[in-house]
Amino acid sequence: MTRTRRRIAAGSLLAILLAAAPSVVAPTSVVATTWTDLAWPLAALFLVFEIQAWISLPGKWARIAGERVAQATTAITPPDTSSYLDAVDSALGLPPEVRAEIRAELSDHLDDSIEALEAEGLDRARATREALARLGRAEELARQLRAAHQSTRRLLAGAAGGVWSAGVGMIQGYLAVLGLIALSLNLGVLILQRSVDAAGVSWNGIKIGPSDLETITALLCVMAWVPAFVAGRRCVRASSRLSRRKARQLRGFWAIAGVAALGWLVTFQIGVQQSWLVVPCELGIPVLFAAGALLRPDASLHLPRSRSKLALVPAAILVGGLLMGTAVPDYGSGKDSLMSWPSDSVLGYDRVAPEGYVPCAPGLPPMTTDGRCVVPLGGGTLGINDFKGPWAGQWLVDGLKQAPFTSMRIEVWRALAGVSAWDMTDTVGFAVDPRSAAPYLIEPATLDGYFRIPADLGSHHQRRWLVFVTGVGSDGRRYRLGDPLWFGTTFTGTIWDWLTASD
Amino acid sequence: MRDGRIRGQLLKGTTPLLILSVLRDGELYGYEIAQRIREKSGGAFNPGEGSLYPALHSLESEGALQAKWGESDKGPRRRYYQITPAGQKLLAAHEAEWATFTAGMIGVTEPSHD
Repeated sequence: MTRTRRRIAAGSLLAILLAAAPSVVAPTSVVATTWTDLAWPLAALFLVFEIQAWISLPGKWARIAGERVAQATTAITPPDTSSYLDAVDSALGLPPEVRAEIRAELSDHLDDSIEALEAEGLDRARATREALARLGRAEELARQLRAAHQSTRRLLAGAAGGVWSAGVGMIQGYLAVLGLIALSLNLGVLILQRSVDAAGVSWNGIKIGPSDLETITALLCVMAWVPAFVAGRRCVRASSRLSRRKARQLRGFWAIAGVAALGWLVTFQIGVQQSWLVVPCELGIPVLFAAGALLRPDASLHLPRSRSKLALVPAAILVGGLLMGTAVPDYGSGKDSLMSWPSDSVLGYDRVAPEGYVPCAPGLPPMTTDGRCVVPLGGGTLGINDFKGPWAGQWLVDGLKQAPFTSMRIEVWRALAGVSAWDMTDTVGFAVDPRSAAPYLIEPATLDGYFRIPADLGSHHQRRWLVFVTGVGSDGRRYRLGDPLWFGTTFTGTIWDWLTASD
Repeated sequence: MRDGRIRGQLLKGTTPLLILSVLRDGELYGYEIAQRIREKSGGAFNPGEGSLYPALHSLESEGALQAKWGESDKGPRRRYYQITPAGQKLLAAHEAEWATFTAGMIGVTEPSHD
């Protein structure tokens, strides 16, 4: 079996394992259920890039460029030709494998030439001098050979090969890291499950798996660091090999190109949740690519045995962080009971409409334990991305038609900095005025309420909002009607949008 | 011309044609190519060995030649060159160009019989 076939077989096996392992190892884990959705597409992608081993595009470009892989020769060079060959070698300015090939070829030529001249009757010294003279000055020969190798054709092949190698290296590396972490996570979950079971602790109330979008996004970005570093190295190496130029001649170009291309990609094109945690992780990708291109890309990456174990430390931190840091208590249906809405004094309104003050609509059960009717959300959905641009929606008000409220409006309150989803209690602050308020229009025919908030909530870094309906009662005071709803405007734009957003 | 040999200056530009021509019959390594050119020209052409290898590598870069390492009957491994289909086309183009050149040259240099 050839090396290529072995590589494909191993890759295919790994792809199948990636797809099957989580559900086999830890079928009840959260990771298994989420991984199952991703595994087959990822496995298919992995197979595609394994097939690349068959196609071997850089190899094709190499053939197009007329390149051949250097092979060692065992030519025996007379001592007095060595200095000539050394002079040619040092003036060539080509990659080491190409220089070795040229040196071997010239050495063979000198051997033949000297032998032929000796056969003509010249002594060894004169034959050597004559053979060297026929080749001409070493520097001139090296210059001509360099010009022959560093053609525009090869430069273009090097550019294409560099881009291809970087892309393939990035995707293959990312999939490999993703797969390894998924397998490690499942193994960790399995161990944890067994340990918890052995300790007789109920699983009820414990949830494993990243539930914080910000953390997940940051970890996914960090997972791209190593592939980016390797991609930078592979890019320079492939480009150097194909273009017949030294790696140190090319690495600056590829570092700048990588920072520009990947920087542009992560800054302007990839819209994920942004935060002070995520942005540096995203920008780390082009930085690591540049580091891979600049830091001796033609040297081996082998660590000394004594330090090789250090490479496991970041991997352990990453996997441990995913496993331990995201194991958050899941309070299930009781979660809401841990939260209380801001009191009227915090929000500055007189009071919540008392029980029975807002009669419930027929068919709409009370939503709170104290019997008040909650104005149910209907119509427009309030997902993260709905905060992009003016916010419009529909809020059903069946039942409110009977309520003696006037000047009804929808209000959006902004949480102060540092308020998290779990802090919406009486003790934490919200802005003293609504960020936005809009008239609440009731359609007489359908009794549906409509609102349209002109603000673009998604352009703000602020992440927590309270949204609720108020109305002025018959006593002239404004009441909060029902419980408010809170939303997190997690910023899902690009880095650029996030950096330029107002606070 | 000295000792029946063509001056190097006159040979300039013809090296690719000479190389491709001698490789038409089969693969050869560098030293053999130089020898074959000398033999086939009756010793008239003695291409500078310093320009032979750059020309070979240049033709290889262009895809006109394919090189591979192989065993030789003299012992050490040699780098053999073989003409490719692209090289055949290039050779045909060079030959046509050369034919035009020589015809023109003869036309100009032959004494007029008017």
